[in-house]
Amino acid sequence: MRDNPDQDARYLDAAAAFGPAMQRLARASEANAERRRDLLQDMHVALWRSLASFDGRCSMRTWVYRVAHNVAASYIDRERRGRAGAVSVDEIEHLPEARSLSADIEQSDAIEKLNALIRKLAATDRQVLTLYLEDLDAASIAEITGLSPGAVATRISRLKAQLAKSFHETANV
Amino acid sequence: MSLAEIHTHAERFQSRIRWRNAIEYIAAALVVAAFGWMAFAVPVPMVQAGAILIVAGALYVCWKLNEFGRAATKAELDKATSLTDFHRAELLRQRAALSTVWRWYLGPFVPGLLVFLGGVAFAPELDAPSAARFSIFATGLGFTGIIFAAVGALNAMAVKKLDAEIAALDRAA
Repeated sequence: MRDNPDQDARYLDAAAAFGPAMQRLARASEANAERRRDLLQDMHVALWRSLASFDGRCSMRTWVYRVAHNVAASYIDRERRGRAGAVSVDEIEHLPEARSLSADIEQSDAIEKLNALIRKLAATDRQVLTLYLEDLDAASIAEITGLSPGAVATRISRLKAQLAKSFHETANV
Repeated sequence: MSLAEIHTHAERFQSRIRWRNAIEYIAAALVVAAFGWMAFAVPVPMVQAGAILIVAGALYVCWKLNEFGRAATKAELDKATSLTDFHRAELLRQRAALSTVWRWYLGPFVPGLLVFLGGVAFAPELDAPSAARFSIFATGLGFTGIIFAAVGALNAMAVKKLDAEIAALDRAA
């Protein structure tokens, strides 16, 4: 494997800036800790390989998110082939029950519930929601996903409404 | 991940692809070896001709698998395309391979199998009545036909699933 200092330098910068976001994406894509670690490694390797041909077609942030999400999507496709398919957010009626012991545990439970919900979504909904949770605006999400800004905004609206409904129903149980 | 770990994982990824290709070539080599031997060892011209045609079919399938593999590797390298473009390209690539399976995977073996089975069933050296010969030929043909039909049907189902996914992706954009 030939050394490419530019590629290595770009990767180190990107990993420092976006490593936590990649970890969160891996967590939202895979529940099993060991497989999640493998997925995260695949994301990092794919990112490093892709940066050999970084051509400035987009910002580094967009580049990193695209690579990470494409790796996650391919991974989930492979896992799902042969199993039951993903569902749209409208078909998810209930979130798993949470045991409420303390604020910290509640927050941790809520994050895990959210990740459990995200894992069930179809690819496009999953990608839009995880990018939205990274605080990206509709225009940035559109650039990463290739959807129109209008389509992104509509999806976010629908996803937020369904999430609010799901969490509200769980809280009232 | 450290750069050293990245480099190691990237090299392992390349190794996995080389192994996957090697397994395909080994399988083809076994078919070529088996039927190539028959082409020399079996003193029945029609069986020899059938064996040679099967070898040619196996080599053609090998070449096509290599072509598809190179396209897949090229696609792997460009993970920085937008999510919908990447996902769509993946689905289209898979669809192209599956929907043409008769042309590049099953079809190349048909001439050779017909001639080979005919050679086996109608060889002058086989001391059997015509009805028995036709029975041997029909049984061989039927058995092969069932396998080919099953492979074709499974692929057709997979193509339908992919078409639905592509349509959903186009609607989402």
